[in-house]
Amino acid sequence: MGIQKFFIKAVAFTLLNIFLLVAVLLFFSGSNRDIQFNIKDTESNLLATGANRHYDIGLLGTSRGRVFSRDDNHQRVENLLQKSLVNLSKGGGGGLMPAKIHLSYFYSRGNSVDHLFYLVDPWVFYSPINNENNTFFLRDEPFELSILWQLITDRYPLNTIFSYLKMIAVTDWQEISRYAGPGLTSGTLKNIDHEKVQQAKIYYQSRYKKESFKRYCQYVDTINALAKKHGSKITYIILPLLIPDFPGIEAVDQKLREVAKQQSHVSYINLSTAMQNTQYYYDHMHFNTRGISYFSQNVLAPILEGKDLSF
Amino acid sequence: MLFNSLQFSLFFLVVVTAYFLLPHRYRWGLLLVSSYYFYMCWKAEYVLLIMFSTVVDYFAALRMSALTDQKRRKKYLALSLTCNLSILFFFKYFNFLSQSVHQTLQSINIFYDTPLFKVLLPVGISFYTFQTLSYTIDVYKGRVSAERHLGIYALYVSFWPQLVAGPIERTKHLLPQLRQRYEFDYPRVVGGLRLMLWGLFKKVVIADQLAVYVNRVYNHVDDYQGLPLVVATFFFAIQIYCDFSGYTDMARGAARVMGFDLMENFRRPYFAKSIREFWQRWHISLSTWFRDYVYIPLGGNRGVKWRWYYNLMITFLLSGLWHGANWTFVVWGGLHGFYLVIENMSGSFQARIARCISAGEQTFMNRLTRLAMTMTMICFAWIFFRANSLGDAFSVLGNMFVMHSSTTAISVVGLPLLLCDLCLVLFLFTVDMLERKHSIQDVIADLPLTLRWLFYTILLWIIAVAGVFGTRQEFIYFQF
Repeated sequence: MGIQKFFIKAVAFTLLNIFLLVAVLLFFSGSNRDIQFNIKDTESNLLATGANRHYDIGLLGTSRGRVFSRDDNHQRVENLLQKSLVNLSKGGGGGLMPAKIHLSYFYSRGNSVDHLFYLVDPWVFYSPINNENNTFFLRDEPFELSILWQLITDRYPLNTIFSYLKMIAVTDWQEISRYAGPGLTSGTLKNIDHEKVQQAKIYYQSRYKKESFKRYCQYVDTINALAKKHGSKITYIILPLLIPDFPGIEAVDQKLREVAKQQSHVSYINLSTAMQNTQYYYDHMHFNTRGISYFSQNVLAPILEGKDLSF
Repeated sequence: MLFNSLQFSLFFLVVVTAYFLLPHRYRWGLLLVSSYYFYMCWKAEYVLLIMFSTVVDYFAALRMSALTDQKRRKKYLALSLTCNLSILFFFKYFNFLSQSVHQTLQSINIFYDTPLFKVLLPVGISFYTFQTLSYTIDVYKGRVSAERHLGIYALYVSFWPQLVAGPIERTKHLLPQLRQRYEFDYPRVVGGLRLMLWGLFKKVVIADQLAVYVNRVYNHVDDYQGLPLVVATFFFAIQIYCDFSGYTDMARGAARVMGFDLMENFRRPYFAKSIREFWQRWHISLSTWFRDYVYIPLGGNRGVKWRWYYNLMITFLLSGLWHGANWTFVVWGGLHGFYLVIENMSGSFQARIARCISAGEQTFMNRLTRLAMTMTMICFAWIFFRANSLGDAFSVLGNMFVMHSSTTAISVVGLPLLLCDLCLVLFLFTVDMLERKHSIQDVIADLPLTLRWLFYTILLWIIAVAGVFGTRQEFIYFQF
């Protein structure tokens, strides 16, 4: 008798909460779509990209791609290239899995882009912290049911899903999505600290889960399929690295080379050994304003014009 | 496996369902296997340590109960103590001792590299070692008879709800329960689940939210002066209480669902009006363990006064050391011992001061003064407990009373989060205050169904939205 009573009440209580959950999620989903921030004032993608817009070029990547929109760089790149730019890169190490979510949401809002540049960091092909374990890539994005659904179907851990659910409680979007280090890209790296470089190498490698490589590679195919479906070209560029012989870079190079060979809308360039001058960086990882301008003029512009790179 | 993880939710559901479906004679087996599995989820090979302790103590106790010769009985007790304490020493204290020797030698210009072992501290080792030690000591003293069923005894040592962070159970209390047959009892099961929910709330909402502030300050103590250090110390007092009592509530709740009654570990400790009273309310299972197996055997409060104070100091220094192999814990324990000695010498100086401030013994002002003084002393000691090193602790003390500091309490996490933290503290104190007369559990149980469900739903939603999940937020007491 006790078990029966308990079971009935437990089921009723669970159903009630599921109903409440659905109602709350429906209520909050998309409730912040009317907020529109200028991309230089926010790290959020959803709050800046809008709906039904057309862009000439788009960027995907980690913070190394995000710097193209921090400070005044977004406008600078647009002026240099004379193209409209959407930056879907995500600071905090957003890897392939987060990139797929951001890109598919971007298209789902009726947006389009002619040419996508995926600014590749090799570690995103190996590290869960850049992919399913990355709770950072949604910490400043408003709640959308479609994104929640993707998190579930892409088998993100509960921790990531919970941290995204918490976005329903955010009220001050300006504050939460503001970049914490404005002005950084105006600095210049003085010299390469080889000890730091070595430490960084060890640090990145310590986070590798090599068996996940194949799984993360599948997201390259998904991203390519998405781009093709929406009529976008996509170019993968392994960004210049001040860390020589980065662990795992060969496998990434091989994968991207294969993909570019097989799919006509995909191209690939490995620039890991280019731009080794410290004047292009503000730290050992990120381009500064000069680096961004140089990269835009000497890499992005020639690609867009169909010219060969001068490296 | 953390109590605040999805993995545990599934484990709990499966084990409890199987427990009630199985005939009574197989239940101990289920609980034993599930307990070992629970432990192995953390580091599988360390389960061998538990098994080793179990087997040694099982046979030592059996031999002790079979023998009448006191000398030979003592040998078996010595065997049990040596085995258990050696394991504890090797895994927990060897490196600490080695480093301390190294530093001491270095200070007198002797440079000798003392050996260090790269071993991970087995989670909960201090808890289950103390539990199994109490068993052999009790058998030796004739307080309990030896358990003949190896499986039941192994379950007593490794019972999963209290395996990694207590409460440290006594043989007389837990062992007989493991043989008892428990049917599904609706009020008991719901009561257990309610306790688990409340414990989870305390851990993932209150403790882990306050941890943000505390960690930010205590991990960079040199960056802060004045009020942020005071607030962080006060928040740590609440954090550790909610963290540990939250774990205990979940452990007690989980055990209660299956019919077992684990001992109470906390009784509103921050409402203590003296340090003596605090120790009757804080980590009760450990403080009574030290009382029964260290303090009283040392002589307790019998004999001359200096001996009494000596016994107190030794007990609390050991209690500090039990918490961790670091001088910060030793100082923390020593401070509490010192407080108690002073309290005993002066007949509770908090009471004397309170008498000077207020008119009568039973006035609100009198009680509040004693309470505030006790809380201040406890918080002072927590500085050493939380600080990453003795140097950090002294840095906190040195910078705490700087009046014109460049950092404000708000600057640490911002005003909204600070307000949120303060609300949580206020909420906790309100609940604890209300519990003085009635258990909140009983009050909730007596509410009409709609209000009860509304309360559960709100609590669940706050946990989901404001709770901090993931391995980053392990329970503080796991490290002991």
